[in-house]
Amino acid sequence: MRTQESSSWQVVLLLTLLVCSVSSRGQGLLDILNESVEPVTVPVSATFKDTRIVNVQSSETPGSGVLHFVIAHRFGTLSSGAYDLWGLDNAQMRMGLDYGLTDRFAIGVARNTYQKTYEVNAKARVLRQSTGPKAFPFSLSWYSVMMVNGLKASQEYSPYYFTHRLSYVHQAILTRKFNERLSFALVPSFVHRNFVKATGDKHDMFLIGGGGRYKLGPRFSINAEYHHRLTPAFAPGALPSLSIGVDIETGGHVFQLHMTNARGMFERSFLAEPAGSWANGDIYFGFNLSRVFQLKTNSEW
Amino acid sequence: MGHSGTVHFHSQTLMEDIEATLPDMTGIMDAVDGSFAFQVKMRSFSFEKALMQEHFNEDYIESDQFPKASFQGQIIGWSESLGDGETHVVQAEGVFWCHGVEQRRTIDGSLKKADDGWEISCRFPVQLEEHDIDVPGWATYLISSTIDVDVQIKLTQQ
Repeated sequence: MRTQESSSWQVVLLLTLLVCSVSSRGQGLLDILNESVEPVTVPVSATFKDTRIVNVQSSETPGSGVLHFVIAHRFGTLSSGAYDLWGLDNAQMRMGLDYGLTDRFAIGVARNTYQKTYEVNAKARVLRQSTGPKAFPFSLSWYSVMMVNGLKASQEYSPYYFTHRLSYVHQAILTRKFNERLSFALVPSFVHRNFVKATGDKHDMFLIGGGGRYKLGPRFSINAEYHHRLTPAFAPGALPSLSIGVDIETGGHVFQLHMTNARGMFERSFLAEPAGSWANGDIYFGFNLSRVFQLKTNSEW
Repeated sequence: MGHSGTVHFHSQTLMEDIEATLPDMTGIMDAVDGSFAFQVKMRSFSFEKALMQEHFNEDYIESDQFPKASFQGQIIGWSESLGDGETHVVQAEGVFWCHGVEQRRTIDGSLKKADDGWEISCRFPVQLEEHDIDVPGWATYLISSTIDVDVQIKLTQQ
């Protein structure tokens, strides 16, 4: 009995030794490989799924040679009721084209229904969050846009010079991807309008915005953003903009569906102009639908 | 023993061809017993389209969670005579490790001893399902369920 037990222990020991020697020999080759490979710095990708969180720009730009076409709608207020199908009868549109000149610099043009506004914009990735030997904790992008009001002159709107039609927004977009699911953005904005109605009206406004996304599935995330005014609003008592939405990704398309109290889709409008009241149901349903076209293929190809 | 290899893979469907290459594969072989290991970093694969690369890393291969793929095995019927300078068709048996899933595989390839090392090439199909790589229904028109992997490597004596 005793000898049988000890012999079975010997077998176990022998097997264990065999397994160890096999795995250590095999593992040895991969280990040597790992030691010989120098770790590289890799930029963190897909902090956000699209170039916008809801309204505000994210840190992302279209890749080099990519034409990014966005068609966006904001419908009427939910509070407009069943007669207008809760706003669906009353759509405003933005069509935009952005092009990635490099992986870090993009230019774009857009046209908005609201005030027949044209946009010319540029976006640069200044710093990129990365991992590896030269790890960096956050990304910084810069966005500048010039907006041109295209309305005919009227009693309401009477630009004397062409420059009166212009307004500008500059933004620094600081983002960090905390993990695979969670990303945050901090966006200080500066808004300037050339034209004001009365002499006392302000030309400039500073804001600080926050945004984020939480990924619920591989192709699905919840996004939100809020912009707080640091200097007095252009119109007294104007509410700041708050938006909540989802991103749904299907191959070359990203669908962003959202609820927002800001109806305008260009920066001056959703940052500086009065937004609706969430409490009163002055909320707009809307979507951004983006499609990418690779015009120039990767140069390494 | 050394590096300097390329890996190339190809997915073909009626709707879309997807190809990617990786120039900096690393490998090692023990010329005494014919055991070897190859390894690649998933984020090093470059694609024709930037978005393909993002989807590859974020949605399919999940490179943050599974940064590497490797093959570790042994050439079947290893003998000194394989080093005679001719190209030999060989089979290798081993473990292919990708997306956190191990599969025992036998692969076909060829082997040639050059003056300064060994030239190895092989080609093998990878079933996405076997490696728990999910392709949603709408993407099955774009991404083949079987990916052809092509490896070319030169191992220099060290």
